[in-house]
Amino acid sequence: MVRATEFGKEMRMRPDRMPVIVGVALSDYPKAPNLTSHGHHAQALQRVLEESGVRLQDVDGYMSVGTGGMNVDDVATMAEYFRIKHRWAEGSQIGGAAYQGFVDHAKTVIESGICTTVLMTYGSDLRSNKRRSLAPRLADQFVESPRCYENPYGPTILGNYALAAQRHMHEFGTTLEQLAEIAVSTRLHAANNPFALNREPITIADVVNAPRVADPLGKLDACVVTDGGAAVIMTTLERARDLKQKPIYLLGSATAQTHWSIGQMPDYTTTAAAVSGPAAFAQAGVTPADIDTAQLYDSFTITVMLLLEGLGFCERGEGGAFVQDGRLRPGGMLPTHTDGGGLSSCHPGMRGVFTLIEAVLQLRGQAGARQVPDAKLAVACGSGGILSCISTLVLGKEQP
Amino acid sequence: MTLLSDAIAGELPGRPVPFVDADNRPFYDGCARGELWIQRCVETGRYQFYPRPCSVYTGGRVEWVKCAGKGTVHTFSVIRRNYPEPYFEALTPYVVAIIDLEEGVRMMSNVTGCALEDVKIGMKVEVYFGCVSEAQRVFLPFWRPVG
Repeated sequence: MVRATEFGKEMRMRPDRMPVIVGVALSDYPKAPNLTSHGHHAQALQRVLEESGVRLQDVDGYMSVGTGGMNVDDVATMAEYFRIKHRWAEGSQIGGAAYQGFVDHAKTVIESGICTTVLMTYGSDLRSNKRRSLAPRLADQFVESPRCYENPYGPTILGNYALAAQRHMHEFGTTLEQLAEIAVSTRLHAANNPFALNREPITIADVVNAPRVADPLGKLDACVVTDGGAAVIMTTLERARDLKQKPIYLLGSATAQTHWSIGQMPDYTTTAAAVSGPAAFAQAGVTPADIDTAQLYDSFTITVMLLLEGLGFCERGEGGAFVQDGRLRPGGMLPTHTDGGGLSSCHPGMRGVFTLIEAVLQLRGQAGARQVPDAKLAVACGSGGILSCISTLVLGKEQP
Repeated sequence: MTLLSDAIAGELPGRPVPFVDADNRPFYDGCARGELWIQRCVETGRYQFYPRPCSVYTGGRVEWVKCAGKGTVHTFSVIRRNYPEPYFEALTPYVVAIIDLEEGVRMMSNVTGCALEDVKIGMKVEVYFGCVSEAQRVFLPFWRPVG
């Protein structure tokens, strides 16, 4: 402990400790019947070591939410799994904001000198493992506080987001067609990603006329269910010079939470993005208008609209008008969810890390057919819980 | 037109049953008597829901108070599919709503006793109680239109 502190003091004086992202990798998706959740972690780990040039024995920080599902293995078990000799382990389960949160915290851990190389892994066999479900079986079971104040009324995941959508439509006159544009534009991006689960174009009429699942939202307002895993490595700018990839810079990062259960949301049309977004942009010294591509957590169409408003891409209540001119589409002013997002490509339960990886690939210029020309600044925004905890990263191609 | 009736609350065997503990016993004891009890921060006088052993405003002491049982629909969703839960799937379509209580707190519940089409944001509702476990004598608050 003392050594770590002394190490930190020594290192803080060195400007080369600037934290950067040097490795990103995905495991097989959207369907990987032969990979367990642990297997997704392991495959992503192997791929991130290969693409970055980092050696496993140099990893001294590890962050992961573990595996989820029937047998939950947390960050400590996963550290054992990969035999990582960490000096900082973190598994804060803030849902779909977790990996943005990890990057936010890894910045501090690296800058302070506690760790030099931080690994993050994620993996989920949600689609292929039929024993797994995001929604716990409720019937005939005792439910403890605070879930006992909601579960007995039969809320559903989509229904919980529908509560926000209904309120947004009531307060601002937002239409189903405007929400549908988010599903349509994301599907157009998915067509450029050969791995995306759903690539056939859809129309606004398709989305609006799809069966309602929880009014006002329907089947095509919802994300897909897939398998998938991911890994990310951050280290110092000094270390990055010896590695394979051009480093991507973390210009701003912030996390905020308003509630966890949907019944506790203070304002159904305002998320914590309104806190973490402006904070991250202020650190970065840029504004939403400067952003070349946005990778937001698109669990449902309404999620994206609320994140766009909260982050400051448009005013509160103006999300409908903001998206309806096709701005989020390929070639639009703000290409968003360029890999096809959770709505069309990959959503194994926690989408956050994939938004971060797509942002990095865009900034590296490695996004292939879906590359946004000359992308220099990107936002990756994770939403955890039910619009509950929002973590925002502003990432850049060039050294600040 | 689909009629929602109090029968939704009547078909209660199979619903998840709240676990009554030291922190929420006054709430569920109240429900069993047909009364809605919530907490008030002793220092600020502000109300809170759900029950907690301390104030969300100050971290300090709370006291229990009986509500009027009147509220307004703040937002709602008509749940049309709930595949993972056969019990609720059989009840579809049903309304999950967030109710604004006169005292200034919100709670999730079901709105019943009217046509689906008549459920609107701003609708005035009043509380009633349904038993979810005869054996444990656990009752839940539900809401229906006033009058």
